[in-house]
Amino acid sequence: MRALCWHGVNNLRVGTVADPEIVNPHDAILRVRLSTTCGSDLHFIDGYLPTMRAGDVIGHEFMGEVVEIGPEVKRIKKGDRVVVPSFIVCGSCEYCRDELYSLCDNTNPHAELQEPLLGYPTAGIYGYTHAFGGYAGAHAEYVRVPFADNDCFVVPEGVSDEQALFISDAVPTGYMGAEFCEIKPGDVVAVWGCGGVGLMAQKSAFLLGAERVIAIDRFPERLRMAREHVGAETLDYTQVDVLEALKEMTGGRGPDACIDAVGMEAHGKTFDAAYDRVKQSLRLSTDRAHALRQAIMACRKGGKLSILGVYGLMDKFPMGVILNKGLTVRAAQQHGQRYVPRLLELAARGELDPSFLVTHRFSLEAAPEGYALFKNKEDGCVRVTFAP
Amino acid sequence: MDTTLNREIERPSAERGAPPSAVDAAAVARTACILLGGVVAIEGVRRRSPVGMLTALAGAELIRQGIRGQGSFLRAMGVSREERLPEVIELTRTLTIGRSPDELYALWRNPETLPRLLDGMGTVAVRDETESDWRLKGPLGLHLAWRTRLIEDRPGELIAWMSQPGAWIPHAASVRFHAAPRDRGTEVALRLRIVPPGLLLGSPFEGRLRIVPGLLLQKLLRQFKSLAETGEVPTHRRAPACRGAGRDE
Repeated sequence: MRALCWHGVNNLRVGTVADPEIVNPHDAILRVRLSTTCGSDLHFIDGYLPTMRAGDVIGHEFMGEVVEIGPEVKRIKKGDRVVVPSFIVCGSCEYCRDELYSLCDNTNPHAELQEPLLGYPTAGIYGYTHAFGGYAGAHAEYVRVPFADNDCFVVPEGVSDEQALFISDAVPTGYMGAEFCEIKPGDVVAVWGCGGVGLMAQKSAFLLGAERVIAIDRFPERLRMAREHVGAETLDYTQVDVLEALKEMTGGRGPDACIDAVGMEAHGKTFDAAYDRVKQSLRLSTDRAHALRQAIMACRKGGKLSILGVYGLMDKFPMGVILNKGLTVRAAQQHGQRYVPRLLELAARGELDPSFLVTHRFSLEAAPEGYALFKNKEDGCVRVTFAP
Repeated sequence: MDTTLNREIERPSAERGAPPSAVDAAAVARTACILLGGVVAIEGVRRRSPVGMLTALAGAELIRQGIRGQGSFLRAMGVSREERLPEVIELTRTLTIGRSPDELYALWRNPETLPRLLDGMGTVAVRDETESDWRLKGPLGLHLAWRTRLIEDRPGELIAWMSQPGAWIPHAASVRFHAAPRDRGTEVALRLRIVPPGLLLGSPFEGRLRIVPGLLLQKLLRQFKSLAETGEVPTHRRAPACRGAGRDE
């Protein structure tokens, strides 16, 4: 089959690889109908995450049709049109029972690569680094899905492929981030980042009852999406002082909750952002965390800080600000399986339509150009979809 | 097992209170050690094969021991400057598994389980109720093989086994099942005690005797947990990839 493979830093190519097979009894094989770029892919494409191997098939946000099932798959059938969250989960360990799915104990074959860094390993992901399991990704014609009964969710009729696609990752990640904010009526939520996850966090904050949502970015077309599709107020951080603007917009209180949907390659115009940039370039640090630091500073006293951006081992984390302001910090990789049924229902009822994130539709063969566009945010690009 | 593993290894008596002539004997032995090492190393290099490589490494080790004046070879000749005893290396890894002690005991005793857990690292052939033949992959295409015998079997609680005479690395191991709090299942402790081969003492390989078995124990335990909780061991084997034959083997 054809698949998009990582061959080194900033080196993606489409090549011919073997078809995936049923290996374990709970596996299914999907024919991929749509897959999409994700900002977290950029971290290994740019070479900031170790344990990639040349030739790895990438891609973790996808939906498709079940074409083959293993002998122990009971609930999912051939022909089902399904969406699959990006973390692979077993459904039976203590973490899965507690719905902390991305912490699943039983799906990372390379736990030993993570334990020295994290203490305890996380679940595996499709098409990511080998520390996250080394599973083949979904920018391909077919993909193997382990534990299909727990990880495949049938897409209701009336929900399109494009709508279902983002319920794989961008929507549940954003929704989880908004849930972390424990939103009460009258709350103001500020969201750093207007990429797929940020926009979905903003939308989810409204769904969960926020009074106002303030979106922060620098790209006019992304800020326009936040205004027009989500109903958020927007701040362009290259034009205004974000901290002052947020104070002003919240009667001097600061936002009740702040969501970081940016991560380790934040862009900024201040001294700390330039300092981060130099350190990251010299490989002295994995993270440029300007957006997160600003969110910590902006948050009201006793407020909620929800972190969705992906980070490495950060230094210069302003713990004193968090402590003295009594912030509650919540962070996680997406516990997608917990939210997908709810989100598919919202989509079926017409209350949630994430398909506006698609700005570019490419064939799988053109995926390297799609990633270039996505990475450089050219031509108003927010998300590129690939159809094999 | 304690008596065998913890027994005092008889130490050479040459060092303490040795007469002055012993110093000369030591000097002669060290020179001989260096010369012999040189011959062995050159011979090994000339062979240009994996066995030759090992021979050369052994030669280099002899030279090193000769220069440092201590090591297994000099100890064997009774002229080592050191007084080190081989310490028993003890490693324990613990994991909580969401099944009852009885279920886990039964799963461990199932003759199909250990071969599945070792898959890719080596093989275990269960001969009968008490004896198994192990074979682990090592570096340079070499294998470590040994036979173990069950020495303690308490259903739902403990299984212990020990390597039989002839094992290159004599060891004893046990798996212990202890009910975890609440509904969390069982705390499973896998324990390994190794008597390092004298040849490796003081050599760069001695440290590896702690690291490699530790990783192996942890991997065995993790895979045992996955098998117990889900009925399968996670893998990306045969995953499509743009290298080799188009997939991982």
